Amino acid sequence: MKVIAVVGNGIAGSEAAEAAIRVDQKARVVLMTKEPFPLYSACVLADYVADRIPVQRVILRTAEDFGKAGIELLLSSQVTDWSAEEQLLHFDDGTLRYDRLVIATGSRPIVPDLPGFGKQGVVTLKTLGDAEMLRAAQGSAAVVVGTGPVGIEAAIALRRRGWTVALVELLDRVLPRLFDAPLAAALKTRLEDHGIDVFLGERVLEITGKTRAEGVKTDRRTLAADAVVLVIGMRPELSLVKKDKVALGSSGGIQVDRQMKTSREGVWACGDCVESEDLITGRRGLFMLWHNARLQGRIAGANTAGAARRYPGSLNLTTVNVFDETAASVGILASEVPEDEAMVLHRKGPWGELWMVLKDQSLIGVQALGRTERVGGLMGMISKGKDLRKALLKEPNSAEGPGGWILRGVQKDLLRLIDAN
Amino acid sequence: MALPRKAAFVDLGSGRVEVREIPRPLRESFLGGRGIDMHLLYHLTETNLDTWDPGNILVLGAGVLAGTPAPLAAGAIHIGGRLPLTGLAGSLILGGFFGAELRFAGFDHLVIRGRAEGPVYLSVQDGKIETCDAAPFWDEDSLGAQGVIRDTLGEDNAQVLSVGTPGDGPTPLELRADAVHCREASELGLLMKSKNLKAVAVRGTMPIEIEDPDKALRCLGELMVHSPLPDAADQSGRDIIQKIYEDECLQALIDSLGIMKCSSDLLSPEMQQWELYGLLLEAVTGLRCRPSELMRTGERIFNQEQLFNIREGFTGAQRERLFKGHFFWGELWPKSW
Amino acid sequence: MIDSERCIGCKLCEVVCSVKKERVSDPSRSRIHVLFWEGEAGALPVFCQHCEEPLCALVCPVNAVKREESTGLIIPDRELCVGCGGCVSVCPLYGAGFDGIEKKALRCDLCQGDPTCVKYCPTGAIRFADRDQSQIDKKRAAARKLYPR
Repeated sequence: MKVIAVVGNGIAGSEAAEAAIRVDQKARVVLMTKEPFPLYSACVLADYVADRIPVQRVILRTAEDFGKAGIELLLSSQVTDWSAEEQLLHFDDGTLRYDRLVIATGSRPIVPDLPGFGKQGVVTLKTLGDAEMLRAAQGSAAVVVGTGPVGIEAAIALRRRGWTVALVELLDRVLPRLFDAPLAAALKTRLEDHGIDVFLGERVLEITGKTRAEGVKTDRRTLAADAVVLVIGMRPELSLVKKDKVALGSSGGIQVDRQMKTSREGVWACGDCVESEDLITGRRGLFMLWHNARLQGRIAGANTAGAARRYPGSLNLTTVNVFDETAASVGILASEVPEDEAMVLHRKGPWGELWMVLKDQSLIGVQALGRTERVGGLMGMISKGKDLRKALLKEPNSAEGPGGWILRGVQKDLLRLIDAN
Repeated sequence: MALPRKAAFVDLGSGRVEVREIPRPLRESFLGGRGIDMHLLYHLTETNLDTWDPGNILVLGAGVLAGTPAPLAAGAIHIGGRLPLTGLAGSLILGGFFGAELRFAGFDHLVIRGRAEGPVYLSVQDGKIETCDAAPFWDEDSLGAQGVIRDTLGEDNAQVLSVGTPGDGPTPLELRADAVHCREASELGLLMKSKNLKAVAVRGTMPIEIEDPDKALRCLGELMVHSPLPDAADQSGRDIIQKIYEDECLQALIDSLGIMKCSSDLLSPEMQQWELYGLLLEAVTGLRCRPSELMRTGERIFNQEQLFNIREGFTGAQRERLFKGHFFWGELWPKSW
Repeated sequence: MIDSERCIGCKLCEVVCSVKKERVSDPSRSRIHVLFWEGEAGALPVFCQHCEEPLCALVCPVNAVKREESTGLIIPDRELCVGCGGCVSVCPLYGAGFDGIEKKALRCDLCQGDPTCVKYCPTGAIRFADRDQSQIDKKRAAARKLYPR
């Protein structure tokens, strides 16, 4: 009987295990996680912190569910070592020999080298355990360091619970990897309107206090803080693959081919820990998003069991909820392109904003605040190398999607922008 | 009880907007659309007002069935005002979805008085009315202006009523609700432009209450089964349409409901559609409407309009002559004249 | 099934869909929407196409969007949905609706096999056909556009 081992029970590992058993019902699929919980959604931890959903809606699978599917689930089972040549995984209480391995260890929060980091009240927000700690935290003032989607949602969650909240960001705008300046500014205003202080272009130097956090010192001020949430970014969790057991890509993620195979025979990888190729732009990088992990997991799992499915590429689309509004971004930001090469089109209205990024003759990125269906609707028109003019001048029909319709009002301006270049 | 809804009173000179709830007894007597518009026109126009006096009002009225399960969603908009060139009570229906969208934005009627200082357009959205600058596109034709407004507002779902300039001088202008529904040579368009009002843009996402949703859907279903759209290409279809155009009271009623005359399912050999319409109206609005009451309402609306004309000093015969001339304006002489 | 040549943009489908599903006339909560072009391009009704490889299901952070076993339709589980709007942002066809009041995802569910919009469309621009080959071709065409490789 083939033994397929999956390390990590995030969405990637979970999908891998389920796909593997679907393809080969006779395989022994062992799914292991170092956490005491089965699959849960890291994306909705903020909603849980804010008390908007009970923990039962955060956890997506029970041990029973996995059992019914024929998958062996090992909770609280950290892999302490990996003997790659012998195909052995080591635990505190034993070993497991596998025929096929899927690495789905996900990502870990980047922890800054900060004085005072170890004090009580300082948390990250990556695991369900972190969320429980934050929920139980005592105090009234919170400082959230980092304004990525997790930071923004953490700040909102704490504000909803009545905390005084301050956001500190190193760069010059909030959500800097998702939105260019104008939409970022609009989102900052929304946050401030709800009582969250936002400090941009500031660096955190120290967390003050004795054993408990009392404040956060930046290069400009000191903020009171009973709780400090450090959410400055994620890195692939690679403690399993130390000593070059598998090749890594330049972005730091595990290098995989289209079938999610690593450089080592019999070993696949999926999820936040891998480097993948962006579907729209073709660039390689870390696209650590739920839907990418999920699809990668499905493909990796199926392939360990004998299939030969191929991953089409990662979709770099993120949706963020800011109080009662939704914002979304897909593709490349204008700030990621050399200044004289990017063209932008910005439209504001009572129902939000739309921001389009163009390069040469192509649409390469879309950002929207409110009416985010426009982002999906325009996806079909985003492509590096595709001439937007052709798409704009085509007859509308249902197979083409609503892209042409969305752009009909700005068609003239877009054509002018492209031709002027 | 489904009905209570609002009318907004906009003074372009001062920029003030006042909103009032439409009293139920008024609904019972005049329904909506042309009915209430004519009522407002009569009461809010001072007698012997000079043709171009800013005190003349322009009224936009959505049919009482607009935006509800009614044929074509009854989306048409009724526009009323004192015709600047003839002095008669003017009444115009433009099909499309403007009337429905106005209701989703929270208003059933818009009464516009005064003259703006500079070129403006109104932006109506979910209970709010704003005056915006129309100077950049004042000279655009009616369709072009709509595109500019949608882009400026960043709202590609907005419905726009716009006025355009096909010629120079005080010739009647084009008044347009959308790409298809437009009235060339419209005196009401001229009235609108004389107020420095280029367009009214609406966008709404507020729900419209339906008294009895299941019944309304059932009535609509039956209406559609019994009366397909009359085909103007065949004789019986033309007879139906002709009949409607000859019966002014019937027209007035249709214009108050918001349905299109050309798609009017009201007339059929069996006449049972009156019952169905009454039932539909009741299911949607909660107003009790027997066919005979509906007919009387049509008469009442028509009479209200005639009262206005009489007050302005027109006799019946004069009115008849002028009316025919006005109605067929576009066809009477070539556009190049 | 859509025959966009016949659509006149009257939007009655939006009205009756919302009346049927939400008991008030509220096109913003309708499961079908009409994209209306000015000029001759006409109008296009859009609604969930129940894609074979649904992006919305992939994106849902609580796996609430699933394919119903009995019907094969993509339906979000209202209880599980947390209203994040991820599915709305990702659908390439303007097919994912959203209830802005309850904050829940909405999908056309073909009204248990008797679609309301089909019943009331005055021109027959929307028709209901079970497992039509053209539907599958259309989905393939749309999918091919997103996954060119």
